Formats: sequence, structure tokens, C-alpha cells
Amino acid sequence: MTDFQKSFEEAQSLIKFEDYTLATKRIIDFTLDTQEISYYRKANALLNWLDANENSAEISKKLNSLLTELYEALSAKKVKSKEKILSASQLSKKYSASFALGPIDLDLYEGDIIGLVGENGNGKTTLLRLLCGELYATSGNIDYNFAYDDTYDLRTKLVYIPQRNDTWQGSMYENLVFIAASYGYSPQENNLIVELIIARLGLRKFRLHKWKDLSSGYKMRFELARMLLRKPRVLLIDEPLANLDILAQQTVLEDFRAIAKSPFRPVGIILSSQQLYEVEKTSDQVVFLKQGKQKNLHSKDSHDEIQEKHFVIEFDSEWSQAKLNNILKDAGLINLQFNGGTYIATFKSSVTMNEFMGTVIKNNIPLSYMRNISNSTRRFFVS
Amino acid sequence: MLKKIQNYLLLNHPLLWNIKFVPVFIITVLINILFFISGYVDGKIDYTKTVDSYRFNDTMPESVVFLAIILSSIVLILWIVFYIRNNAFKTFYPKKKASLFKEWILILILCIINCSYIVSFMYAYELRARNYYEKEELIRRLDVISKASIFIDGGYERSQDTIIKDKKIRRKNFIYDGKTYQFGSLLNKTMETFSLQERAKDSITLRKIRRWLINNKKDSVCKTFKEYMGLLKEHSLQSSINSEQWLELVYNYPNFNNYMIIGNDSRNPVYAYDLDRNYDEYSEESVYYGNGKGIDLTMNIRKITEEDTTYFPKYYVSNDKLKTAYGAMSKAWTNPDANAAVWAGVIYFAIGMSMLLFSFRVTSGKSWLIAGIAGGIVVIITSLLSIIITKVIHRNTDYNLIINNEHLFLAIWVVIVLVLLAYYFITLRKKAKSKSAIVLNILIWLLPFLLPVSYFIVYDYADSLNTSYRNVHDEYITVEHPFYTWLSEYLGIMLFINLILIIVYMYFFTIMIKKWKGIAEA
Repeated sequence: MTDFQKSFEEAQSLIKFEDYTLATKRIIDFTLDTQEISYYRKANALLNWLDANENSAEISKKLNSLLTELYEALSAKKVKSKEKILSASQLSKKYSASFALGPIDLDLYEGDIIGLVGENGNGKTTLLRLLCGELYATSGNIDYNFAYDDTYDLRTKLVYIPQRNDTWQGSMYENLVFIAASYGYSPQENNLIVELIIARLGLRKFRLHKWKDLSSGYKMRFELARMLLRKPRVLLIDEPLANLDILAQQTVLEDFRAIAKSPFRPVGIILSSQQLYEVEKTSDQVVFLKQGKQKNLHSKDSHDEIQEKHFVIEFDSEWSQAKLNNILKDAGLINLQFNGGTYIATFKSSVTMNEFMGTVIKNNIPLSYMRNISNSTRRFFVS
Repeated sequence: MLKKIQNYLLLNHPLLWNIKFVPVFIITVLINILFFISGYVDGKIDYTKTVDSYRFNDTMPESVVFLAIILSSIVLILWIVFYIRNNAFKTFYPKKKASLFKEWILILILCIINCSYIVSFMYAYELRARNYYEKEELIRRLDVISKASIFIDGGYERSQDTIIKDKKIRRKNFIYDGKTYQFGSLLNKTMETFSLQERAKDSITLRKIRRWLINNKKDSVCKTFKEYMGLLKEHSLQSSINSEQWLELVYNYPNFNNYMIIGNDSRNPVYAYDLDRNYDEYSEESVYYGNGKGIDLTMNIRKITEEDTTYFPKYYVSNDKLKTAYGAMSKAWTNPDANAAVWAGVIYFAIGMSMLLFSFRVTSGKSWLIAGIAGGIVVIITSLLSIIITKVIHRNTDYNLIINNEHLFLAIWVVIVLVLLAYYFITLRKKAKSKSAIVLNILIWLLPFLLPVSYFIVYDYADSLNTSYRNVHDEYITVEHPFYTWLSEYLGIMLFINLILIIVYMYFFTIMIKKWKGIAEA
């Protein structure tokens, strides 16, 4: 089963279980994949109908009908093979004697998401700015695997969304139409595509708003709408989850996944964040930066392999470190760290989650929180 | 309607939409039309006015200048507010090769229109004056006024004083066409001329009148008077005499010595004068007002008020008013205020403004401001430096130096611009922009003026090559150096060539700016 078929079936089940909001988003994604004005018109007509008939019993039928049409249209279309789009080798940037980033080695494929994590001031933003051409590398290379005329042209294809966005002036809708026109969308498709992208990001109610009237979450979504119109080859986003509530974070990350994994228009995304678990869940690769040095979560690096063999648990307990250490020692504990209210226990690699939980139950250890971080960059923060 | 146009432009020509070209174009053109109409209305010739020809004329009322500046500033500010809302270049939206050049040209067009309000007014003001009569008809009327002016109160051509061996000799007569006349004869009268009349023709006309007098062509003189009176009547101007009376009063063949003085205006006071009087305009003694002495009451009227006694001409024609009105029409043809030099000034001012706006667009507000402040500081330093250097040089040499502080200052700036240009070219090959945005701002502002400033320096240098000497009449005579003459003649052409150069180099410069924008920031 291809990715496209999987997405189609997922959309069908979303309609079946009446999750119309998400189903509509999928339909819009498929519509954009067709790159045909006739489907843009149909999808926009459907969106207008949905606005006027929020509680109609016909919704499911209408959505299914367009979904089937789109499936037929896209089945004939060739799925794009995912090429390597960006490759950084031995990349480094020296700011001063006190801080240097790198060397960084990185490969980004179309459709992949790379998450950059690390404490503040460890080089995440610097790496993103290097990759988008805003900073030059002191040494090393970045190869972009697509054609461009000059550095300006290259930078039009590398869309970087900084943590602090510039204020948009004028209405949001007008701004997006301007971007679409600047990116060569024809006058016939311009308004249609802008409407679709606005709907895709749940911004229909806000299209005529002013920037200052929007919350941080909606500002980020408008930035994403702009980004989608810019047809980026590589998307670099600095701290997109900052200032977003947990629901908004999940929605934005889901949007990233859908955008990156499009079968027909895949995009390579690199994003930085402090939200470890959310980023790890969404990303195909996680790069941890500590004082400018790189550690990959899914690395073939021999040193990291040794690290990966350990079983690492993060938990909260009211018991003292000494008491816990005594009990867990017999369960294969190598090391127990107390880190500001949270314990990080490192066990031999042979220990499993079930065995650890058995020890906890057997000894009646009170736990308020527990997480297996053996495969999370969380462990880099404590090592 | 405007919204529809803007929407069309947004979808089809985003650059035009972003610049707000159409609304600003419409507004500025409308303001220009209003100024044009006002100028045309205000340009109506007023036959009741007399204007001192040495005073700056009233083509351009101060209120119009004030209004033009206010409106131009308001339009500019509003335009900038809307224009800076979107900046495709700053956010790396795709740009075609000539896109930035197009943007600058569009800014320039709007700047020129927004700076033209005053010239529109001036042009219409003078257009009205030119539209009264066909050029040939106006010349014919001017000739009538010129011819008649010989028979109206005015100056004399030949001086009574002749300098022979550094001694002033007072003479009472002059010889014309083999016959001796007194200095006060009508044959010695000067003729009023207008700029539209050809110089050569002036002498012929004057000679023609004198031939009429010598040959006693009374009818020809009378015909001229009739034509002149016709002009007065047409413009509802007063006279205390008719053409026949006029002829009677002034025509005194064959010597034309005894004639009544015909005043230029009923309200012009008459001061005593005597052709034999040793007149010295700088001597207080000679400036005397009508105390009655020397005033001929056969041709003047005495008016006594509580404060003063004033004399007015008994016989007059409203020649001053006619002269003023026709002088304005003549000037509108030959020496209009809305001339090429004014247009050049407007265009260069607009270029400067467009460059300020354009540099703000392609760099950033911060670097634009730093460039302004840094430029200002360097201006102070370089001006001080040039003053000090020239002072030191002057003190240490006896040689009459051609160098002065203004030239040195400008020359230093020419060098600075060239150095900055070199720095900018080097930056294009570097990995980071570093401070080049500030340099780029200064270059965009100053490059258009590089050639004119260089020209000015050379021009002033050439001026020093000119020689002057004092002639026998104690006058300074300047002999221009051929190089100076050549430069003077080509000043206009240089400014025009510079305009073309600006447009040509901006095409290539904007391509380079796009390339520069792609360079990493740091």
C-alpha cells in the first residue's frame, strides 16, 4: 500500500467517524496535490457549503464524494520519489572564542522532518540560520540538491521562519494573495489557492483580521500559510511551538507532518524546539545540540550506540535517592541521578520496562510520573 | 473602481500593487491638474498692475509654494505608510532580473509627479500669458508699444558727458544723419523694448522712427499713436489725450526739441529734471522731490496735500500698465520661469527622493538610519578637514591657489564615494554582507550626483583660468578661458547625459543589489 493510499483510507475513516475538521484538511491537501484549478473550485465550493451547513446530515456524503473524485484524479498521478534535498558536512560556525557550532553532519530528504533540540544558547538557531543562508559557514559545506540561479534565488527556496516574526501590515488575506501573486500563481488560481490554504490551517474566520488582533498560535499559522504559498524546498522553523498551548502544539506538529509527507509535493523540514517529546514523536530524526556539538538520536556513531544499549527511565517519586538506589540496585541499576525533582535511572540494556515496573510494584515504590527515555534525546540533557 | 483596479493589480502585477502606483499616480496627477488650473486662472494678465521689473515677479505666490510643499509631503508620507506594508525583496520572494530596476523607475515616476506641483502652476501661469495672442500678433503689438514709447516720458540714448583724456566734457548737442540736434531732442530718446523682439529688429525700428521724424512722416507717427490708443482702449486703460492731441503735443518738426512730456501713468509723481543738470545718482543733492523748481506747470498738475506738494503729469497714457502686461506676455515666451533648468531641478530632486526611498526598501530602516547619521558625521569631519587644510595651504604659500574649502570638501566626497564603490564590489565576492548595507545606502544616495559634482569642481577650476582686467572706463572685463566656455555650454547636456547614465547604471546596479541581498548577513 502506497503512502497515498494510506492517506486516502485515513481520510475515509475520518469521515466515517465524523471527524470532519481533520477530514476537510486531508481533502484540502489532496486538492492542492492535484494542482488543478477545477478541483480548487470544487473544494472551495465545498468549504463555502460547509460554512453555511455546519450541522447538515449531508456533510459526510459531500466530503466522500469529493474525496473519491480526488482519489481518482490523483491515482493517475505519479508519486514523487523522495530525494535527498540538503546535505551538510563538517559544517561549523565560529562566533567567538567562547562559542563555536559544529562540526555538524546532516542529510535531509524530501518528506522528512528533522527536530533540533538542546538547551538555550547551544546553537539551534545558528544552525537553522546557516542552513537558510543567513549566516555563512566558517568551514564545511552545505549542498542543496536542487537548481537555483544565484544565492538570492536559493534563499527564495529555503524558507526560514524565525522565532520572532515580523509584524504583518494590512489584512491577512491581502498579504497572502500578494505572496501567491509574487510566487507566480495565476490570477485565476490565486484567490482559490489562498482560500484553500487559509482553510487548511483553520484560519477562515481570521482572514480579514489584523496582525495585532491575532494570538501567537494564529500568528504562527499565518506564517505557515505564507510558507505553504512559497512552495519551499526546505522549510526551517525556529521554535514553532514556543508560546503555543498543548493543543495548538499538536495541531501545528500534525500540520508539519502532513505538509512534509505529501506524496506529491514532499517538503524537507527542520525545526527546533524545547518540546522534546512532541518533537520526537513527529520527527524522523532528532539532532541534539550541546555547546554546539551534535548528538543524533538515531545515530550510527559508535559512542551513541553504547549509550543506546542502556535502559533509561525518568520518574518522579517522593522517596529519597538513597532508598531508591538500594532497591533498584538489585534490578540492574547502573546509575541514579536526581535532577531537580525528577529521577533518571540508568539500567543495563537487558532490563525491560516490565521488569522495572515489576520492581516498583514489588517494593511498593510510590510513583507520580514515569517515562522510558532510552530512545529520547532527554537522556542527552542529563548525561 | 479604485478597489477593483488595485485587486486586478494585486493578482496580475503585484509590484504595481505593492508600490500603490495607481492610487498615488491618480492623486498626484489630480493635484497637478488642480495646480495647473490654479496657475492658468492666476495667470490672467492684469492690466491694472505695474510691477517693478527688478523685483522677482509674482509668477509664484508664496501661498502656492507653501501649499505645494504641504501637499507633496502629505502624499509622500501616506504613500510610504502603505508602500512599506509589504516588502517582497526583504522577505526573499522571487524577483526577476529587472524587477528592482522596475521598482525604482516606478518610484521615480511617482516622485517626479509629486514634486511637480509648483512647476505645473508656473507652466500654466505662463501658458495663459502665451495663449492671449499668437506670437506674431504679440510681436506686432510689442512693436507698437516700442514705437510709441519714444514719444512718452523716458530716457535718452546719448550721454551728455564724454570722457576725453580722463576729463569729463559736457556737451549739449549730437549729430545724427549729418544734422545737429540737442540732447533733449526726440531723436535722442530711447525706445522701450521687449525680450520677444529681435535685437536686430529693435535697431531697425528705432531707425525707422527717426527717419519718420527727419522726413516729417507725421502720418506714420499718427498711425502708430492710433494703434497704441487702440491697445489702451482694448484693455480699458486710461489716457488723458487722444492720438491727435498726442501728436499735437509732441510733434515739433524739424528739431523735436520743444515737446510736452507725456507721462507713463496718471499717478506717477513728476520730479524736476533738467537736461543740463549735473546728475549724479549717488549724490544726495541731486535727489530732490518736486519742490516746484524746474517743474513745468504747462504739462504738470500740482497737487497740494497737508503733508506735501506733489506734481503729476497733465498729459499721460497708461504706458506703465501696458508695458507690465505685455512684458509679462513677452517674458512668458522668451524666458519662462517653468524652463528646462527648473525641470532639471525637479527631476534631480525627485531622483534624490527616489533614491532615499529605494535604499530604504532594499536595505533596512536600521542601516538607512545609520547611513544617514554616519554620513552626517563624515560630512562634519570632511568639511572641518577641508577648511583646515585650505587654511594651512593658504598660510604657507604666496601663490594664489585655485583650491578652496568647498572644492576640497567635494573632492574628498568624490573620493569617498569611489572608495565605497570599490568596497561594495569587494563585498559582492565575500561570504558576508557585514556593514555593506550602510555603504550601499550611501552609494545609492550619492552616485547620481557624482558626475555633476565632479563637473562642478572642474567648472570652478576652469573659472579660475578666466582672466579679467579693468578697461579705460574703469569697468571689469572678464575674458573667459575656452575650457570654461566649453564647460558652460555643455552644462545642460552634462545634466541630461547624467540622467541617462543614472538610468543605465541603475539597471546594472539593481541586478547587483539583488545578488548582494543573497549574501549571508554575517
